[in-house]
Amino acid sequence: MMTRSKTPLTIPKQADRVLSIQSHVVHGYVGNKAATFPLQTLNWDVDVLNSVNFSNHTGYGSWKGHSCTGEEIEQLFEGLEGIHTHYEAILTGYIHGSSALMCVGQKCISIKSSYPETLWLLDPVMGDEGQLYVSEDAIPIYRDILCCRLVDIITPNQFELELLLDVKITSLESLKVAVNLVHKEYNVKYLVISSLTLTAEDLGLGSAKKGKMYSCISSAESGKIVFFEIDKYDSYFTGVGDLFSALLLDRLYKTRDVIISTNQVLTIMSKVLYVTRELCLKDLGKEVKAKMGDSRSMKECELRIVECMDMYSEDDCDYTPFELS
Amino acid sequence: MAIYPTRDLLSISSHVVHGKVGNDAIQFPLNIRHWNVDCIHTTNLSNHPGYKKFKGTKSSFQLIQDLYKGLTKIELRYDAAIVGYVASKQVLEVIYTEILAKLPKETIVVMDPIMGDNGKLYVEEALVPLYKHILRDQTCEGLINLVTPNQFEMEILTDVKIVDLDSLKQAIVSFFELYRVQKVVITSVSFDDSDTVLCIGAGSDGEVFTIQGSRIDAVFSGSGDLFLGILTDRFVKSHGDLKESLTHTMNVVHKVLENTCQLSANLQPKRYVGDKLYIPDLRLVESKFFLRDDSSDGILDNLTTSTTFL
Repeated sequence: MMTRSKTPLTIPKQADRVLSIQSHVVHGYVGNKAATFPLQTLNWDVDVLNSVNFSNHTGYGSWKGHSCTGEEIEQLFEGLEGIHTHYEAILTGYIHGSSALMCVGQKCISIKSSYPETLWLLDPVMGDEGQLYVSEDAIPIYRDILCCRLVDIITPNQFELELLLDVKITSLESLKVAVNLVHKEYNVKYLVISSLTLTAEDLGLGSAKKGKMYSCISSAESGKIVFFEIDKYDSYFTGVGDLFSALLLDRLYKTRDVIISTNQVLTIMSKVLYVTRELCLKDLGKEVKAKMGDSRSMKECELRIVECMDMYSEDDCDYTPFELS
Repeated sequence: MAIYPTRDLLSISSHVVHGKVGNDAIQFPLNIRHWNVDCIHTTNLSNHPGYKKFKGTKSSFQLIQDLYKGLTKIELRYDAAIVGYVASKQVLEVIYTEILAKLPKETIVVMDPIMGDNGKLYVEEALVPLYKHILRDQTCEGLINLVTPNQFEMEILTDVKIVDLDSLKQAIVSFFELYRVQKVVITSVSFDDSDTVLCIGAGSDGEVFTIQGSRIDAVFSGSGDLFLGILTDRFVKSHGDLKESLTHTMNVVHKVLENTCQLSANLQPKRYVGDKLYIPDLRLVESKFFLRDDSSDGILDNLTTSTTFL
């Protein structure tokens, strides 16, 4: 018997190519594991260069594996140069160690110098909420990379932005100064601060709202600074920032509109976190209370990257952008 | 919005930054088929050797050992495990004694004893007796559920040269006499330069069947790894129905290779292996539609099957 299931309506178009340099974990979804599959579903051919190779992320309390040295990473780049790979985009996330970070910086700068149209998103993963989780040596290296004025998009959190600029952000005024400095000094086209520690009160929005936080978006071209009010998520969900930056790169590549892109990505993130929380609840039979270092609960709190595969292409915008003066 | 339940797979194979071989040919298709794929990489190379030059490293046995220790510590359970490309005897030893031997019985293990192709060995020779030993091992009975040698690897494993249907049957008989494995798939058998390709499935219960498909006139890197991944998916989901799994797998792989050919038509410079066009990279991302697990249900357009008992 011959039956035929439905065939695609159009011949798939050639995938765009992205080089993604982040961590690898065998189990779980952080770094390249959180970025790769969502990008692939969006028709990106992802060249995965792993900066570390761990069994699982460090939040579990125990892990094993290997961090790549600068020399090892350099070898991989040389191999890629030898076969003349070409990329429409570069995504750089967590990179362990100064020599590795310096190498990645140099190599990506050289790619961008040869192909200025390659879109480079750099997520300067250094820490959060006042706590540095890389060596202090990373800060000047990130500054040096940005000083080459070739990075298109950066996605720091507020703490990372403060480290990059060596300023304290305590008010709307100091935030605006910092944002303008990023565009001016580093020639960054799009700045997306996914989570501000500044509260509604700090921003002059009235009294602080419980369970809410703010994202801040700015593009050099428009000169506008735009905010979104979003739900706070629990910090034990790891890989959130890595999925965020991967999706943002896709949307910015396709739309070049940072407000719409961020709105779409925030909407997807909120759905992915909802699904993750719901499936967690179903599996555990109770509300998630993940404890860092407790492997059972950390396992349950891994992002449900595969379950959410149909969401990455959605273009809903659930948030309302607003400006502040 | 449909949310499908997922299964968990441990996949031990190679990793390349650029290209789709080893774990990079397994991860995306299996993610699309609702698997979480935990990849232990046996290499970390810039690209596969089909490009003639590459850089990078092979994973040491200590690293493989360490990574699995890390996984054991956080108490993971896998529905299935794939053993693909292994670069050295020491690494295969670790996989055998410290991973396979410790997996619970209910984990379905599929092993591709990657040694060579077309009469040429391309791994270190010391791997050959070790593969034989692992497949023979009493303690492994019921642990390795399915083995997927190609014609050359089947010849190595059984010491029978496969030149016609009779010697093929002889090889299968020898295989089940020698090894304690439930099922075997011999991928891509050809006796002459006909334009068809034959896959053979056989079980320790004596069932043997052949599936004949049309050959695509090009040489690909990574098609065996894609085959391995899809076959594992279907073998688990069909509860060990090898014939159904193999039919489905041949259909899917054929469609992906066809799509790859189409999308690679303008590739320059053209390279050839013998008189056949060489296509170094599978177009997996662009073949998403064909990779879905409901994509080829019931399609039997270019396959003919026949079953016999030995």
